[in-house]
Amino acid sequence: MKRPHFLPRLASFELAWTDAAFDAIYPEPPRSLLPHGVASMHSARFFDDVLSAIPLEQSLGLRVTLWMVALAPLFTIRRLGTIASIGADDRARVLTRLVTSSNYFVRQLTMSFKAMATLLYAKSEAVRAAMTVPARRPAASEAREGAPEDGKLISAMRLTSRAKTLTGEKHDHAAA
Amino acid sequence: MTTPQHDHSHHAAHEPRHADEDLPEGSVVDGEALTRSIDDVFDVVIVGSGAAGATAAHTLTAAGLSVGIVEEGPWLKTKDLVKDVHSAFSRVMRQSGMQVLQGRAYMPLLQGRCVGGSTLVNSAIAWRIPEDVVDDWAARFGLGITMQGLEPHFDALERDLSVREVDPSVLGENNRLFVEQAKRHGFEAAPMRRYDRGCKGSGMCLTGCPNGAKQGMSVTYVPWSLQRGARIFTSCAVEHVEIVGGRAVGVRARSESGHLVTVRARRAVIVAASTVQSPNILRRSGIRAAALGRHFQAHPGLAIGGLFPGAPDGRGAKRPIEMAFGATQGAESTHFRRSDRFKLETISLPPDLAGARIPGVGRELSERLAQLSNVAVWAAQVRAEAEGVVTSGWGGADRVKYTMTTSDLEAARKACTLIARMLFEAGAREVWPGVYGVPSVLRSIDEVRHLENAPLDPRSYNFIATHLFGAARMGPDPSTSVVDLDFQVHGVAGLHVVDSSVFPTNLGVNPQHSIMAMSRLAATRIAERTEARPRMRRAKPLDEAVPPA
Repeated sequence: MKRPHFLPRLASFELAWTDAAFDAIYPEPPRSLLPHGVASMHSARFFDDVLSAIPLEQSLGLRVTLWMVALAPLFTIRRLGTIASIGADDRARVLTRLVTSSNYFVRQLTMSFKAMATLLYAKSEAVRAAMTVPARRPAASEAREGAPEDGKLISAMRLTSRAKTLTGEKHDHAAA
Repeated sequence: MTTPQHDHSHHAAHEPRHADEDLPEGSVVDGEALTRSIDDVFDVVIVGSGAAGATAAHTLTAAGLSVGIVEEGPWLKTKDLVKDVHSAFSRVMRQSGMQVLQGRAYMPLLQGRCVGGSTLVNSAIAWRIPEDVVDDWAARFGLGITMQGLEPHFDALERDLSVREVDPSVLGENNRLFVEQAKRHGFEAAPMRRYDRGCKGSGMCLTGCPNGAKQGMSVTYVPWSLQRGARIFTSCAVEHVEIVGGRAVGVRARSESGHLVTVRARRAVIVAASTVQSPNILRRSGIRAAALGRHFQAHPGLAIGGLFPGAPDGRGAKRPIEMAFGATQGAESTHFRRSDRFKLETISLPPDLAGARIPGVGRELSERLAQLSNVAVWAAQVRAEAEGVVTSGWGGADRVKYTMTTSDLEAARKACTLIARMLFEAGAREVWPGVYGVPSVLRSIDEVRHLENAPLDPRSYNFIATHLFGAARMGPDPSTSVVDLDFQVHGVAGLHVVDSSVFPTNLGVNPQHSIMAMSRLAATRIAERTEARPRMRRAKPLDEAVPPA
């Protein structure tokens, strides 16, 4: 079922909320051990595009989630402001509270928001490499190389192959 | 009826590399590019090109019948596959992978919506239907299906699709460690048997095999059927089956480009659109059986991650787990299937999916993700006794109401506890149970006791539904079933359902192989009842205005 496209795109303040919330999940170094944060990947634009491409029901659900996350500082850490107007540490505290909330819907909606951020973040080759290639952490120069170019969601960085593993060499504790 | 095997290992540069590239002209009608309404006719029309539909198409074309396949989704060719989950899911998954079962908790439901259906995005695990299930179906539901009757079909499928055990060279550490640990625990576990022709261990089963090694339907039975004269209408959603005078005479579909696609059937219409879609297609076609949409069952699955030390520490793992290499799902145990109603298996999650389930945000999350190569993920699928209902919701959307029972949750909790214990005993230094009410990070085997007392509330667990059954169940009595013992809808001649919606219960093992065997059995019977043509008759080429894919 195709979604009727009558929902408006995200407003500028919603885009700012999205950037801030995604940044709380995947921040830039030094608040992260991974090569770069999700902010450099045009997260708000990605989220807006997703909302316009998925079925109406899910789109509405994610938009409600965005509002919930945006206004959560008031209810979670008693700070007057939105997710975009508080500091990085407070943003992380807010997201942590939400994702571990005792309220099922709050918890699950935040989890779906985190899942969206992850889907975008894992598009970065540099990030994937840092997560999945154990013996080869990207150096700072490589991380920059792997970060997306302006206007692109996916970087063009190529990974060096794990030739040893791909040849199927037996591992130490092979099952009988 | 065995298909010649295709050897792709030594192709010249100009030759197509995969079976989904070299298709007869006019055999694919792409509903995204269709510029006008069309009307076509075949002996048999099949709705859906997944495990059930493709198998039926292959069987019927082999018997000399002309076949038209109507598929709601697009055809994503092997050469066009991408490795990031978002791009793949948004193209080939129903509702971009955001479909859910609704009950006391929301449970994500992953279904392929593309040529090949879920076989494009699953792990190609081949399990023959357990004998106790067949016996139960005979005893409780009056089905005349026997293991002996199914065996020739399983044999043929296994020949055609190269069912084999995961090769040790591509088993990968996640799978190997599981087998080793299960044996230490004193129960049987083994590498899986899969539809595999040259797996390279890319760990990308869930986004589509980039090497065409996984023998999903889009690189096997669908193209092989097209080679025998079938035609497929892709990106064409079936609105309803046309029933005239108590007989199915075709289907009416709508192309993605908005045009009417009428596909007429001289002899039979086969619905193989999956457990969620098939009942609603029948409903939209005027079928009003009391059992329609009822008795939906699933195998809710949940996964638990364990973080291992990255370097030798004398406790267990001596090498990175490195889920990115090896069979996505390569090892399993059915030891607890009958006693406790769960099956254990491995699953290598790509970072795109693992990230959301790993505890924490910000720096804490990044610290764990930076060690993803030292993470093992083991899972359980529960043979849940719960039954749900498939309905049609607002705007015609498919909707499933489903809530697990307390007994199901007890089985899930037991499985979680066992997996957590196994991970610690294998050397994990952290285990992430993902169960609300239990610490999100367990740091020692002593803390596994928290899981033993986890709440029996479906909202506490992060289940995913992947295996679906029932909702158009088979049986002799029209008041309690939808299709008769020959897979034909009660009271409608020539209308058959051959997917797992006809299964009276779930299985306790991965169902694709059983779905295909049942479909092959059904199609064989349909072919036997139909006067087979002496020679294969190619469908007439469509008008030039219809663009081939």
